[in-house]
Amino acid sequence: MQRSIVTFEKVTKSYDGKKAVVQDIDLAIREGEFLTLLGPSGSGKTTILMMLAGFEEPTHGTITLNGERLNNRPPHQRGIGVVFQNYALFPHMTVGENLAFPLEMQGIGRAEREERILESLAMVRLNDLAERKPTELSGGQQQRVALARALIFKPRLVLMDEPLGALDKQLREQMQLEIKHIHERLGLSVVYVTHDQGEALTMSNRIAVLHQGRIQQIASPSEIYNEPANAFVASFIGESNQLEGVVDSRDEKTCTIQLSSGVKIIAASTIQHAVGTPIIVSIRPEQVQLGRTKKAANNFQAVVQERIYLGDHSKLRLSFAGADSFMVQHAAKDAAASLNKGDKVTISWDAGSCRALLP
Amino acid sequence: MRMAGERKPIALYLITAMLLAFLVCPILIIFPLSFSSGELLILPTPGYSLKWYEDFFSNSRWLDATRNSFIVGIFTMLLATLLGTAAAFGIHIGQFKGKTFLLGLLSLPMVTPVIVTAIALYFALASVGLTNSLIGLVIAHTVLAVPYVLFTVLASLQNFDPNLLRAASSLGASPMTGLRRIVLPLIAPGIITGALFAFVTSFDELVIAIFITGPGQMTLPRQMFSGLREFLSPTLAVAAVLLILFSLLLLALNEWITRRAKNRGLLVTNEVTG
Repeated sequence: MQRSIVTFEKVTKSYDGKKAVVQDIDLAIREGEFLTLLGPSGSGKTTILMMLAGFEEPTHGTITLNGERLNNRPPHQRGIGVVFQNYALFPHMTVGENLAFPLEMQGIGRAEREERILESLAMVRLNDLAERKPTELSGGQQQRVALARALIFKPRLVLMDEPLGALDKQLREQMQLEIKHIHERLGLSVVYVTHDQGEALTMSNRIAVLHQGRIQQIASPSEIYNEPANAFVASFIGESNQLEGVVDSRDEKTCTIQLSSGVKIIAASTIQHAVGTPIIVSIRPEQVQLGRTKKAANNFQAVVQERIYLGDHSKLRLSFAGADSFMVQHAAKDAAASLNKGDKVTISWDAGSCRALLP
Repeated sequence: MRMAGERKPIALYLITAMLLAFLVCPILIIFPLSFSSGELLILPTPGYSLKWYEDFFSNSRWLDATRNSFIVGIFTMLLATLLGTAAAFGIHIGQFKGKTFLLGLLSLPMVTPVIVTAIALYFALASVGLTNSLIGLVIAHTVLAVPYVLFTVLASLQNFDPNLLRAASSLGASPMTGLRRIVLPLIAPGIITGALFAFVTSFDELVIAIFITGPGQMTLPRQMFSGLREFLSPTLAVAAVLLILFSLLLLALNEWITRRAKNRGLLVTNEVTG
């Protein structure tokens, strides 16, 4: 396992002394990794970033950087690059002056400054814009300047607070890849905050999912997606059908969950839940087969409520197990494309593709 | 057919014109008076001459008063700008309770009747022996002028994106460097406006000047006041005309600075907040 560049030990932050915005955060950020803090607004992800940057102080707990305690060290002595959501470019300075600023702070001479600025502008593909004012640039260009400015003084750790939030979808996806490539090339550690799960899945080595001030799960994108630790993670990352029930019986590999409507579902038993435990069964829409599958552990009847066309694929909204919001995904050219409202259909899935999770 | 809405609002124009005339005419009357060839402040003037301008610029009484006014005005401006800007910055950036109370307290000199402030300052300055001195008058005028600086600078700080300061510190700038390189250049137009306000507050102040100064520290307004009561010579009108022209000059200067700042992008700040 790689060395940790940053550690959080039992870090709690409260603004009013009563309600904790983040609580008991234990986190080790590895040297060179791209770690995303993902969560809905108010989950505490930005607070964690602000404490790391030094703009907020933890109420309890310790943060270390390269093994040194960071508490009460002012931001300008931390050497951490920060990219802000609204870019925070200095409006009275040109792009070149913005980039020169951190170098001047380090006492780097003019000749080297100019060399580094050119290098930096080339990296973000803005070669000819050094003389422009930030207000004369497009949103995407401003974002690139902000990125270049946070990287130009060669920090080992860069924090990004929803840096692509203000860009349109196409530009956002392009910038996601650009940032990812720059990270790979420079080998620095990045802590990235977003509420966009697609962004997190695309860019990260690891994702920490936050909810109500606590880390719900920290793992690689595929683990987060395929093996969510709890019902919140399953619902926040990607889509999932969540059905409430209790553990009815279990053996070594599987457990049977009885839903309130009486339907019994067989799920892979990842955690040893005792019989009678209230449980949420989570099944992703793309894991459900239409039609009977002999091998599948779960085969049920459902009724089509609505078909939703999405170009490359379609979704069916079905009534199943007493509710009518069970979603199933299928390819657009599938036979299911001819199904209409009211049609009966058989749905099936493996025990391994649904998960029994604690609410 | 004509729609009712297409009619020009003649009554509105008329009332507006009358109001403007009411406001401006008393000021304009001063101009012909200052060019009078007579000995008295009366209209119509018996003829026109520049002799009262000559009197103004050769009479040590008026020249000393003008000099004193400039000295007090400039020092008041410097002191009030320093204090007002620091207070505005502290109130805007600081995180503490009682901000509203503090703002109310600091704006008291604006709402207290000047005569009350004047009496209070008279006793305060007398107890430390600063009455009958220009230093005392500077201190007194600073008390009056600080709120003007405070509020103009606070207003320009409202448009200041605090993330810029955070960005500066993340890039290695100490708080003082951030203040000098980022905050001050961006709120400079507000500071300059505040400074001009502070200067004008002092430059045309009479009541406090009457209380604090003696015959050795005559200021221009005070000299005009005595002139009105004792001499009634048209030199008074000359002083008034010069004051009006000087005020217009300051107004134009302020406008020019604000425009220049706008053109240079100094007043455009957090437009891209996401």
